[in-house]
Amino acid sequence: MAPFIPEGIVNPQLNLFFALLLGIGFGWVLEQAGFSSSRKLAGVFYGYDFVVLRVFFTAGVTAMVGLLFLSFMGWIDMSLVYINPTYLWSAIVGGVIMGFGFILGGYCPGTSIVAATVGKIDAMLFLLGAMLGMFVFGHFYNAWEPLYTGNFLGHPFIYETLGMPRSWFAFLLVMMAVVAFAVTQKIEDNVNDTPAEIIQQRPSYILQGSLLIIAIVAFLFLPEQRKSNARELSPQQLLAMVQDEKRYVDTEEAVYKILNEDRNFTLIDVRQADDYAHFSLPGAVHITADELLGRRYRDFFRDNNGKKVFYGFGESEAEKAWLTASRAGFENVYVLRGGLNGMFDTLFNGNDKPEDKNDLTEGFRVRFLTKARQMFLEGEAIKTEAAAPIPVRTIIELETPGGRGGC
Amino acid sequence: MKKISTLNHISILSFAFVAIVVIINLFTTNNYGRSNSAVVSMMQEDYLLNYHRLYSILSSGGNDYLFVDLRKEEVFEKGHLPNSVNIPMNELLERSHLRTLRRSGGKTLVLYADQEATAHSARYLLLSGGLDVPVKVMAGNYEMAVDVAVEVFQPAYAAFKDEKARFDYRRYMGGAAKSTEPAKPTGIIPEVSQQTLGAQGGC
Repeated sequence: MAPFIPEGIVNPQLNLFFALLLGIGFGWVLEQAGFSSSRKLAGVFYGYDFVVLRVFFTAGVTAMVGLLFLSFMGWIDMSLVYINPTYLWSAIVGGVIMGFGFILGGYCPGTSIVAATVGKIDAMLFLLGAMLGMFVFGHFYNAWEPLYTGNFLGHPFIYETLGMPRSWFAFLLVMMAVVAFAVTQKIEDNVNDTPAEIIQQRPSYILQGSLLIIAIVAFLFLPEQRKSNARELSPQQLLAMVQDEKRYVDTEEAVYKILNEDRNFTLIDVRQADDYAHFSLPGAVHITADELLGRRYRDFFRDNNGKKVFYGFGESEAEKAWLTASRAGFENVYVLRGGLNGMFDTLFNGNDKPEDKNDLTEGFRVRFLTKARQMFLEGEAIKTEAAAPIPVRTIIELETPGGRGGC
Repeated sequence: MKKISTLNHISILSFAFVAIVVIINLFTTNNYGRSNSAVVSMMQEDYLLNYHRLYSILSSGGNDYLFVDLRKEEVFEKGHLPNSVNIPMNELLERSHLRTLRRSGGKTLVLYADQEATAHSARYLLLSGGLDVPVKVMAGNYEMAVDVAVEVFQPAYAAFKDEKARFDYRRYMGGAAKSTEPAKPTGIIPEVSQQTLGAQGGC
């Protein structure tokens, strides 16, 4: 249901409901195309009716152009689209069995269900045979498992196998379809000896055909996916942001917010998972740079409340994550200055006394850091169980950091 | 005939809708040469040039490498690595500079600056712009490179990089509440490379 489910417009839990709707629609189209009649289906082999070819080519071309469009817009995640895996032997043997069944019964599995639904007795018998076949297959699965799973080829795409770009393959297929529509119509008319007046009165599909060709030619020149979307910042904006210092959060601010358990201050650890497991700052979450564009974190980043601060060992990893997030248009993202190393250096290797006694700001800063240091070292800052929240003032006023919860 | 004209109208309208959406998108997108996720995956590659490698490049002449100095022009003039061009960070996206980088003649670019993080940002921006030349980033900064890899090579810093644990963080924070005894801040890891460099270590 792209683009509605990926963009969060439709609840994913409605998937099955839409599957039902699509299934009913599919059955309806098959029935309307006349696929509930085995004569019509067999017609393609005798040359008197090519509606099967036309319907399936139309379906394929429509789906293909639609997918090209959706993937260009970034509305569909092609990696989530299910592709039937190819097992060469089972495909060949299964194809032969299915073709044999088609000749015998005049239906393929999908059309047999459609025909059975509209009350054709032969289709019901056909379905019964299909069920029996499934039962035999399942019951003796062990016997043909090596054949069934033999020669696994993965998920090959025809255009990859042929070594051509996706859009060129789409173009060729569309041209093939258009030519096939015209040629099969001619064959049909010859076989059926259609009177000339009827051919004259037939609606012309030249407009639709040419629009389709224009569309597919346009896709030849469009990239497979847009390189950026409207939400993203421009390279120049990013460069300007890299140059100013607004993105940095200093050690003092980070320490203050950590000690106060500020809910509007989220630390994001961008290091490897095992580094995060070994040690992380109190309350930090773990999101690496390659994960942060994922759907999982979209709501988190689009929520503009409070600061989201990236940190790594140094500044580099955090900087990368910050650039990625900023380009994606996420606001309120910051970088911890100096990373963990810089923070620990300031916090634990700093002086206990200000160098210049007359500099009040510096004196204040040093006293704050000294107290914060004591709190961290003695385990005051990291509570093992919920305690009363520490009032803001106590961080600065606390004289003896004992084990009493800061009152 | 009426039925056919309805069909034609529907075809034209749907085609126009798709065309308009595509055209609007072509004009509202930014001037990027690579998608964000493509750049992110390229930023996961191992592209850091450590001082050991830098030393061997410099001592062998380094003709396959073009160093890009991202610092300001006046600092560049006071001293820079051999084979380097100066592209100050604020001019990074200027056309003339991008042309220089694109036509580096098959050389690998090595970015360096005052801070390693700046060079990483520059790599991110260049790759976003669609640059197709291999781009590496020198570990640390210029001053440090001069101290440990240009004139004399100091093996202790051979594998230095910004993103490396320099403290035993858990001794300072984390779980200390469990012990009654305050932990002592003695967990500093000396800044000596733990890596064995083998025979090519340049010593």
